[in-house]
Amino acid sequence: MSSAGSSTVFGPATFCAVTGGSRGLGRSIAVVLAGRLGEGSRLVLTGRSLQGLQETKRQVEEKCPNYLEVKLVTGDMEDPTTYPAFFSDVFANTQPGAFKNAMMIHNAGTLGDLSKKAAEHSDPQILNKYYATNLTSAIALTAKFMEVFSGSGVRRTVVNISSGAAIEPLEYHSLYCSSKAARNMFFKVMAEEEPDVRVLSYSPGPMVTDMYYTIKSCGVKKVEDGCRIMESQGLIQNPDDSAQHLLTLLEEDKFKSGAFLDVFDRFSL
Amino acid sequence: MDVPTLSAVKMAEGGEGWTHPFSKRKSLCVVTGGSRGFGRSVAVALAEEVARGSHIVVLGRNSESLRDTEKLSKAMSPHIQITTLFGDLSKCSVTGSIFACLRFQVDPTDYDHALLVNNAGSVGNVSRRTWEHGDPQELDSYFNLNVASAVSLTAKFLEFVRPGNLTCTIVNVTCDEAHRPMKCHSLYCAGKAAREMMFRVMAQEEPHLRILSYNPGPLETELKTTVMVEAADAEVREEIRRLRDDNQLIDPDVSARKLVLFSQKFL
Repeated sequence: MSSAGSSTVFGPATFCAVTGGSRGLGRSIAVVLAGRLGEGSRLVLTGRSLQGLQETKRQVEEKCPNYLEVKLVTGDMEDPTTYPAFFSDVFANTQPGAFKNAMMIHNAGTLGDLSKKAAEHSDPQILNKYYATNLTSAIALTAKFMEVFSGSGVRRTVVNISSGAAIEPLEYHSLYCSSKAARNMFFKVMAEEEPDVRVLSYSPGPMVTDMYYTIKSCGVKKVEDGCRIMESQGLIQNPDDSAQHLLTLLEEDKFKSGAFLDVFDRFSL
Repeated sequence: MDVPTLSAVKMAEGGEGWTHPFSKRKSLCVVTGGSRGFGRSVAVALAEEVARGSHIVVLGRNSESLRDTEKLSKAMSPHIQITTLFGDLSKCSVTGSIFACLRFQVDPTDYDHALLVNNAGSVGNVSRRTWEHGDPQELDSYFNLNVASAVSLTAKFLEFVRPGNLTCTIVNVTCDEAHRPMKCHSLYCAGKAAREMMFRVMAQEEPHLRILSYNPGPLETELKTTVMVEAADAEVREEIRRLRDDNQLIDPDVSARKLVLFSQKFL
């Protein structure tokens, strides 16, 4: 395991933005990263809950030495008109020349209404908000990230936190499945177009998070039974472990850009 | 149950084994993106096949072109009703108003079969690379048209025809790019992947519905011409030019007839 500041991927002077950093996997990624980012690095955490972000920051600062700057930006991605101001905050006072590495981790995501089947999603406003939060925001934020860190010299990485749901249809999860499928394809195209950017879609597997508990208590017997089976097989992980696995993949740097990999190493495209 | 994805270039012609012959069923058909291109071809192909008393509703963004679609469809069969509706599916308000409007003109209990062809779509700005798609409003509008509208329209369509207790067929017009990443097509690939997955989930959830994702193949339409001229990547432009020069672009009318043929045979 690399010690802080010695990795070529994270190393010194790394800018890293993680969305959905107020809890769950986003928090775990931030805390695991804290131990890896080198001197002169900056970690930007975004999320809807300031309280949650502050707790993540506290855990990050507990773990890492003082040279990591942690910035918090709150925002809700449902409304695209708010993006320009939000993105400005994320990248405020960022001198690209001050960084050797830049990483964008698209972790924020929502499940949508799990009580509705695909054929019941009749409200276009609700669909619009869902795709804004889970698809549009990641695309637009990536564009801003690339704009800020354009030009040579900065090693750029973009991570799309994905799911097995991007590949396998799951009942009552049509919104989640479709947005994850869309994201996987978008980032595959990005990998083709931008060979200088390391692009990875990562499926973290089922984890002990609020999102998992939402799924487990959705009221659909089939889904709830599926969760219970996974639990009995010991497949539900601590998000810290999944975050660790992600960082290992990034550090080993062997993946084909645009690949979709999962925590159990089942897919490799 | 997975959604069959049929590619026009692979499908074989055949007249046997009809399971749902349209010629024997009074159908209520809704086709989106029908002002031109493949949508128009589908409307016309349906008009040729459906039984007397059927009704084809064509939705589009260009009133004048819609009138041409109507004329061509009516020429196929004077015994069916054609309704054209003008609407821009990139706007959230439109999907709701379509069926509110149809409610006054259409009684689902008059028909045996209902068919929705989700064809409306756009390729997005192909002169932009992935990292240049920074305009949130443009992205919002894109996914409204190409993903959200197809989903909500399908839900509203099924709700609308429910009183008629009809057999229902839902078609999602897809393409290779739903699975094959293609430069300059990041939004198109994303949107098509989202739709295919959405309809795969729907097929699992609704075993009584006939759901088909249909890939019409590379068509000789304005959409392809736009890509050939405007795509930011020279290889992409060249690929389309080669298809055109080698006569490998498919006539949308031919592909549309295959879709209509297949929809009847598919169980």
